[in-house]
Amino acid sequence: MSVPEKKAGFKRKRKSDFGVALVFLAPNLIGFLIFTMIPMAFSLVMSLYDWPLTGEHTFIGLGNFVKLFTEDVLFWKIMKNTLVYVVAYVAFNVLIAMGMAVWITSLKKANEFFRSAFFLPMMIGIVSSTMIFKWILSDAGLVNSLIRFFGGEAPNWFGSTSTAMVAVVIVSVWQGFGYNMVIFISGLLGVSQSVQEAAKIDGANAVQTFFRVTLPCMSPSIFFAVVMTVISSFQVFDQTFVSTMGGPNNETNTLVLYLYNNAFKYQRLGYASAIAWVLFFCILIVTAFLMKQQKHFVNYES
Amino acid sequence: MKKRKVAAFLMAMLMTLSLAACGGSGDDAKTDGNGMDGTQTDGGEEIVELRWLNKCESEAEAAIWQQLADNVTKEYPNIKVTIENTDWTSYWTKLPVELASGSAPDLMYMHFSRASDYKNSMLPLGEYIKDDENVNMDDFYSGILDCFTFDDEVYAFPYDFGPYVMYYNKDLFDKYKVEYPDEETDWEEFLEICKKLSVDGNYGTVFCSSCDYYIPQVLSLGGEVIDENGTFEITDKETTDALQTLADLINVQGYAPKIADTANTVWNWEQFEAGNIGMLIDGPWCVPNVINYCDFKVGYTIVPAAQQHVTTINGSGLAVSNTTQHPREAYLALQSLTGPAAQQILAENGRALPSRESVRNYYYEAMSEQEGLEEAIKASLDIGIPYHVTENFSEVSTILNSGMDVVFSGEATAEEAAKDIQAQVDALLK
Repeated sequence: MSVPEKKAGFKRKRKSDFGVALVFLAPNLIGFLIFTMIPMAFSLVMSLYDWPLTGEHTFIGLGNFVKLFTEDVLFWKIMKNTLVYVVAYVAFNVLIAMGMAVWITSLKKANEFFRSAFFLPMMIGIVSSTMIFKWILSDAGLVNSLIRFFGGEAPNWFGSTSTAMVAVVIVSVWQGFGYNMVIFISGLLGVSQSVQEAAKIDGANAVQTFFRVTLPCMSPSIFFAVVMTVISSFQVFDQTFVSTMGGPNNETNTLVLYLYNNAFKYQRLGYASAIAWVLFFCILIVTAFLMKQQKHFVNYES
Repeated sequence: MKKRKVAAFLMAMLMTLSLAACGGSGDDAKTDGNGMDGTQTDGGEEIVELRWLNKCESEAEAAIWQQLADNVTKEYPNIKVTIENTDWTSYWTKLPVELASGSAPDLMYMHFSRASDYKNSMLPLGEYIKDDENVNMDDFYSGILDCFTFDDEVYAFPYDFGPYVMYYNKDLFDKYKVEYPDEETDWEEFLEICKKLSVDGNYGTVFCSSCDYYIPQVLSLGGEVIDENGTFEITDKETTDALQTLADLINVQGYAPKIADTANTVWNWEQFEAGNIGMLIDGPWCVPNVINYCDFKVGYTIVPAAQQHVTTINGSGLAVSNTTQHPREAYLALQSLTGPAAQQILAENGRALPSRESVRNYYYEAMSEQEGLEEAIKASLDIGIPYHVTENFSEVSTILNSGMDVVFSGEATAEEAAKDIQAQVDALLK
């Protein structure tokens, strides 16, 4: 008898809470509806139409997606470019951020200075850093002058199909690794000293301690960093928009840039919306995969 | 898990927001407030306010356009023109969005190469021209007026035009004691000059990832990318040979620098302005670059002939939008803004080579310090043909430009790239 009673009481309480909660959530919820949910639904509708910027729009069902996957030769190249960028960027970003984090936490002095120094590119903004790198990597720029000084052959960084993507990744990593580095530093500092000391007493050397003890203990922050970096790198836009506009020969053209060009340069809003949904599912699938793998790699202490 | 999904969800949708923001293509928001506020002239007429969306690149240029707009009001006290200036790249984003959202300007800038794409948004001017005794249509250079004429109906009035000519750095020629090029210079001599100048980190000429600059040379070398009917055909042997010859100037002979920035459509100018490039091909609208940014002497001549003497002609104009509330007044303003008096002002400021012959001499006078420019332009008009464009040229030119990147970088032959480009263009225009 006592069980239903309890349930009824709980229900009543929850109901009254719900109204209050709604009021508190309203500002955020309204924003979410107006700026996220409704536009999302709208873009899904648009993706089913031939929707030019001016003139009539006509319903074509999945026509945009069919065209994208079967007729658009550029799309697969862009898909490949995007994946190459994501893999290269995430790998270098995470490795460099981890290396820097380990080095900085090991410093006795000035670790706050280095932490700020390496985080600084984040504050500059990607457009400015891309412009700076365009000069650094230009023919008469710092890098090519050094390469020539040491007798190497200077590449045409942003101008050649073989190096343009490399250049874009360099800019992005330089600009972006500071964020993950800060996350890793806090992860490293969060690993309990006693566990590491226990490992030392058990006879583990520094390398073993790092890979067998420290790294697993900070796996939640690594996981968080990887997922967030993957998501943001799928959406790379500013760097290529400023540096190459997708060139040379579409070698640095990526999904969001292609989406932008279709919408605002070629005025095909329906097609652009279809690309947006393809991008959304790419991110969804990759993120879901990472989440699934989580239990194999991520060690939550509790 | 849920949180992460929501985060992914949110991020992916951020870009779609910007799309949806301009998706509403209804006929709402026609709130230009076109002078319906009851303001009147001294004579008691209702004042009509017109909004003019213009392409403009600098403060100095904006002042000239403002003067033209003020003169409209002087001529027609009941018309007031308000200018909104935007640079080239943003203009082609802004104009379609405004047209789509139902807030079209009354007057708009129009480039010859985009005219066919925007034909449906421009007011046909035939009946207004017929009623207008003052407009002298024969005064316009017919080659550029043709670019704005579809099915015998004029859609825009050109305010300028220009043939592609060759700019050369006189100081560099003097330094290496090379004879200046002239109208007689043929391809062999052009190569000879390039060879003599391409020393000590200098280059004979320069290219850039934009077809506008090299199409005159392709034609001169006997190739043709777009014919007079607007058909795109790049795989002909003559055309690929011509393109290969130009690319070889970079990669084989080393007469031109490797294009380092394919996103920058004025990269060639930045190199030329630095002073170590001998010759560059562009239209007379870039003479202000020479005046403002070149601290060396520049000479002008026609594009050197290879197989034939030929160059292309380009130009810009203004149009009335077909949704304006005041077509009559907008036409009068347009007539004034592209009339002889207005073009005289453009000419005297060196902004534009007038499309109207009656005031073209003011341009030559204003440019008298630019030695050889007048002769180069006049000679080029004799050999000039319109720069033919395809439908949907903004997208076609993007395909052409990016496809040619690998040819100019030496990573593919013109023949290979041409097949790729042709396939993409065919898929687009079919």
